[in-house]
Amino acid sequence: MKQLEKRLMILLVLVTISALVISSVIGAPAGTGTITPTSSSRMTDPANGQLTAEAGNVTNFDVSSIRNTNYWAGFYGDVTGTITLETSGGATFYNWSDASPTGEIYASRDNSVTWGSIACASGANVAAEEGTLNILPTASDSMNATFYRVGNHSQFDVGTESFTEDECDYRTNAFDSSGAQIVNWDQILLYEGSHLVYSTIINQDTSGFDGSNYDFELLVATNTTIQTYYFYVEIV
Amino acid sequence: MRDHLKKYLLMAIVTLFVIIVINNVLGDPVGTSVTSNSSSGRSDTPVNRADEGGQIVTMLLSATQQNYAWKAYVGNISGGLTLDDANEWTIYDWTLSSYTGEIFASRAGSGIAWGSINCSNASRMATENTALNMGSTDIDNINNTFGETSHANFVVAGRTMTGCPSEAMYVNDSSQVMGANALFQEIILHDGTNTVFTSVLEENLVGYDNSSQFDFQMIVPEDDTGGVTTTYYFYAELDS
Repeated sequence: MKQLEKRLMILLVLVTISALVISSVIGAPAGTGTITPTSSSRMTDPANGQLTAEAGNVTNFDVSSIRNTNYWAGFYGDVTGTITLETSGGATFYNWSDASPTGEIYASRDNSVTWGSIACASGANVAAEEGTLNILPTASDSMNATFYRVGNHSQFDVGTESFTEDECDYRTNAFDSSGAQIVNWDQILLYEGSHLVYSTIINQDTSGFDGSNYDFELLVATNTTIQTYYFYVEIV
Repeated sequence: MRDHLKKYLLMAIVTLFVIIVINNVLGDPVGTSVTSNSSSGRSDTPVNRADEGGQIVTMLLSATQQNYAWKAYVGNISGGLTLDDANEWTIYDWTLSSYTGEIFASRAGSGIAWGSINCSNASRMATENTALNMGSTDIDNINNTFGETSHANFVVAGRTMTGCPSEAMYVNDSSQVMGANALFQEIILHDGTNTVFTSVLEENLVGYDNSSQFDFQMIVPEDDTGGVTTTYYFYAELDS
């Protein structure tokens, strides 16, 4: 009887630990662990145009100018995931590799996001972010101009918090190779009490902005000084 | 009587000769307009009169001549902001809903040191005069054309430009008083090596011809030795 009680006790402890670990995995996005940047580049500024006109002439011409934004950076790539059952000390009881995970990627300048407080970003949150990053609210590429009801987003979950389709007002879609579109690459602005959380829904192995297949594309706001972002992932 | 007639005839011929000489010295009136694609120059119809023999005619001739030491560029700008990789694949872009900024024109096709850009000065403008064969006393050389300094401040490559040689282009066929609020201001900048003519952008304003709307109007000097055409390279800086 004593041995049986002991075995039951061990089993109970193991189940409890497993339950705690699983809760942790489902309840909150996790840090991405390993990030392997493969490339980083920006458009070269366009060459100047030239004109030759005769002296004494008044010449009418139109100018088209495209330049890089100073307020945004883009991240894109692939996600591989592992769902694990392990202790807080990192000892793995069991894990499952997921080569084609679904879920979301998040980026924030907060290295300790309070996921339990996550909500759609409000106008005040966005205005505060613009102030912090010195983004002109009137700029054509301001946060408002980029995100306020520009595109749409699918239903998604962040931990135990569920967001219905187009629930968040600050949303847009990154481009695919044909340009602007609203089917994939959902971008959603969330807020967790002190920082904005830039979010995207994983589109597994989907044609991206340059025609290659990726799992995610994510826009984050920045300025002419280097900003550090912390990346999180939630795999479902 | 005959001698008087001869004298009057001689004076009429001399007067007529003087009129002809004056026309040629002031620079070859052009009888037809010059067009090249969307370029156009002044069209002049020579004045004429007919007088009876024996008349002594006193005239005050007013000559307006097309300036071949300068040429003008006017037009509109469209633009956008983009987030591209080095291969110009776009992950996102924005259309400019409104914009401020500048158009720049320089004889330098490359190598403008934007980080060193600043106001030009009398010495550098004089050097540009020489390069384009403009005389130091020409009333239409660069120094004499851009003699104001009271333009609106603006930023180029992060540096504020203030008190630079400047002038305002015409609006509705009339000159403007140069000042911070003048329209179509043009400013002369320099990067240490190259002169950069700068037009501060407006947004769809009626320009020199009282009918078309332009975002910019600017003049740039041409080589003052006839038959030489100077190429200018254009740059733009748009504020989002």
